[in-house]
Amino acid sequence: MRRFLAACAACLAMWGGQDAALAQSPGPLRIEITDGVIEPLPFAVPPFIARNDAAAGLAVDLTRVVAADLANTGLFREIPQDAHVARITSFDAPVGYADWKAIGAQALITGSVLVEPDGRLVVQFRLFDVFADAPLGEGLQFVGTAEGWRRMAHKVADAAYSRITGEDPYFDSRVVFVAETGPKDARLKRLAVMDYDGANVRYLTSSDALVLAPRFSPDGQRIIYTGYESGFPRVTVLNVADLARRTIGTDLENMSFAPRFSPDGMRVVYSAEVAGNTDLYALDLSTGGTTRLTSAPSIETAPSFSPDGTRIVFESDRSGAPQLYVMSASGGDGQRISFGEGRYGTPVWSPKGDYIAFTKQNAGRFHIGVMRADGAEERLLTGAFLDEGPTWAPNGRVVMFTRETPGAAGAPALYSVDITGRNLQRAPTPAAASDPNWGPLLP
Amino acid sequence: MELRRAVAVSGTAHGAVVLWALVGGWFADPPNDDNLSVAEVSLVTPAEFDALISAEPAPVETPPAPEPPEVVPDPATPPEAEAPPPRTTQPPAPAEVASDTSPDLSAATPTPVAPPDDTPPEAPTAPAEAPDAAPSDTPAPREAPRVASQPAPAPPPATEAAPQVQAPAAPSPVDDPVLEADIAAAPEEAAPVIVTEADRPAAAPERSARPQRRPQRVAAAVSRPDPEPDPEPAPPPDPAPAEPSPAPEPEVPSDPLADAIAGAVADAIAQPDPAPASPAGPPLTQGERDGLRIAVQNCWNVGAMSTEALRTRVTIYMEMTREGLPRSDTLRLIGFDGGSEAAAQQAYEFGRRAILQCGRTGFDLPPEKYDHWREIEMTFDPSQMRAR
Repeated sequence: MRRFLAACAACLAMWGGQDAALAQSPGPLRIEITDGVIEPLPFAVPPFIARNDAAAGLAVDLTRVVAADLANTGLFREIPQDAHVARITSFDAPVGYADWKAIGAQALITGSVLVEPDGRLVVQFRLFDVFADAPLGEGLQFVGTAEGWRRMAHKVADAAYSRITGEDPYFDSRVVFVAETGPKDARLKRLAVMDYDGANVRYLTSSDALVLAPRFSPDGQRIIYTGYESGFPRVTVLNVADLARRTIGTDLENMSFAPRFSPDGMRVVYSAEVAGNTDLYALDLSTGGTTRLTSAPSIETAPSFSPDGTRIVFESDRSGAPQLYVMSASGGDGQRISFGEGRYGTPVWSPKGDYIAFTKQNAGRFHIGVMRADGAEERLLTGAFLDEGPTWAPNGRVVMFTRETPGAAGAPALYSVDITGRNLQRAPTPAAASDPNWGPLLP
Repeated sequence: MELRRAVAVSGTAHGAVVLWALVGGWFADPPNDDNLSVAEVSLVTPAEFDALISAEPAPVETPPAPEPPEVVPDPATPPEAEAPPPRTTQPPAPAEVASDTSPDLSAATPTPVAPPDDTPPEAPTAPAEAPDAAPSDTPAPREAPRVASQPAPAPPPATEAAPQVQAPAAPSPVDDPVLEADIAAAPEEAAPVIVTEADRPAAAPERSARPQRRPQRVAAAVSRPDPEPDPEPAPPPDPAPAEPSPAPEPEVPSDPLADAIAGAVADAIAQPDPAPASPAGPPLTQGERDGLRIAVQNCWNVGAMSTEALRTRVTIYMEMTREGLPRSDTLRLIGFDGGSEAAAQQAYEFGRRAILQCGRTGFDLPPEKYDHWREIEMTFDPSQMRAR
């Protein structure tokens, strides 16, 4: 009995003790943050250090390109150099984080440039997470020719962009487009290629013949487009390196247009009008064999492969108005995915596979929008008198398209917009431009 | 009639009592009498136990000097091996390799980055306490790290003077190399702790001090190089009655069990004493919590977050100083959902930036409720931001 009572007493005592202990250690405080701010992330790029005299000019230029790449995304805001408190005098010197915190910089990019005796350019850079008082990733070094300095700057910016945002890079890429000159009713059009930021424009064709809808091959070595060299729209492949061209498809009597490469670059899918009916066809580039993918009395056009090559999204007016459909890459009827008001066209599958960009016409306005592959989550990113022909940046984060202004003096230009709908901005081109297609990230 | 009923009731009651007296013992008294374990558990405190271990076998009788080096290292080593891995994996993990290798231009070789600072966090090698977090029962491990790499020549006289001399030892204007060696060899931890505990147990146990409840998150706390904010742990001061339950023994001859129980009860009652200022007090008010939340969300800038990270919810753990400053080296990702690991890492970076940026001057939190916000788990859920 006594034992029983004693045990009870002990239990009570222990229980009481536990209770007290619990009261003394309340555990972690739990807070949930669901609201925040959406602002460009402030970063600082002090001038890259020139490690010899020959590198002095390039160091300045490189720094400016890196800063511009990041700032142009709309995701970053450069803190002007004259606001910097600290000066970077040596690439290997320790970073005084407090100085950069003081000006509100959250990321810091330092770099150095060296021109070696043989003319090669060596660029080094480091990225720092200022508030973590630590580098963000390892330092990197790029070696190349002095002529390629812009690409090296893009590489540096790409690395910084990727590390901070988690997105894949895209600055070191090119865009092919149709450069336009002349009056609106008699435009001269030719193919041109430029860096994504408008630099290094290079014309690929003359303006003798009309050209439309150029598209890069997955490796960026070839461009396929609709050319009127023969006076008749034909799908043509152009080799970027030597500008050699050839028309593909053997049927010379029918119009073929809206071509696009498959993700492996081995096939081309395009529209062809046969006996007054437009359908989709696939051409095997190695064998030359053609496969008919659709057979409907309606117009099927603007095909685009999914990144895995298993499906094709296209535009069809079989329901009475142009809408978007998805079918197997081997053909079939397809399944309609667009159900909103208005007309949908020119669908393009994102390189990440998560979205399809499209042109939408509704209530007298044109929009660029995105939706999931099943048609869900449709969002319009832009709206204007005429927006059309979207193309994705290699990382699937940015969409470029053609915007044309109204009136007799109206002219097309290239614009880009973030997939969030923010940061709409015009891409610099030397003259009017349309039909952009963003190429892959350069190797 | 009524009388008969009364008799029946009375008879039944008495019968029951008799029956209980005869048989009840079976239930009341368990077959084996030893409850000794109860007494031991409640009476041995970590500090005492440490003292016991460091003094090791028969601390009372045998001369203290020789043992510690031998006995300690053995048990300690195995747990050490276990502790470190989980911790080390998280912090370093920079996953940028992919993007780094891509550049074609020719050699995209990662330069040997030697950005200066990052060294400080070495100090806390002492994973000694890690075992504390995981295993609950056998606490032996703590010694190993204290026994510094050197075998400790241990000249007896020096021991007492050492603690004071060693601390300021840095200047070392003097010459003798021996002293310097000592200073290096007898780092912070080794001398003070073991010596005090081992030496004083004999001293008067003014009271049975059930000392401080263990610092809950020792493992986490110790792994960091934080010298300043260890407010309470201070285990050394109390002399801790070397033996677990011995004190009362002499008095009461016959009932050790009762004594043990009494001791336990006394301990439980006396508990508030030892931990001086630690009662947590009332929890944070909603306003105080909101204040912290708003402070952080003002710096949570998701503008540059990737689309996938914007679909990822992350939870960040951190420890705070009493001044309301987040300890940057304690921030870590403890959970995520909705995205890939890479996206979670990105989302974590953004959350961490928000905490560090807006917390650099200290969050406005009530100091008297420090125990309530000393550790914080902050969850960043971008779902609303995505819709904007």
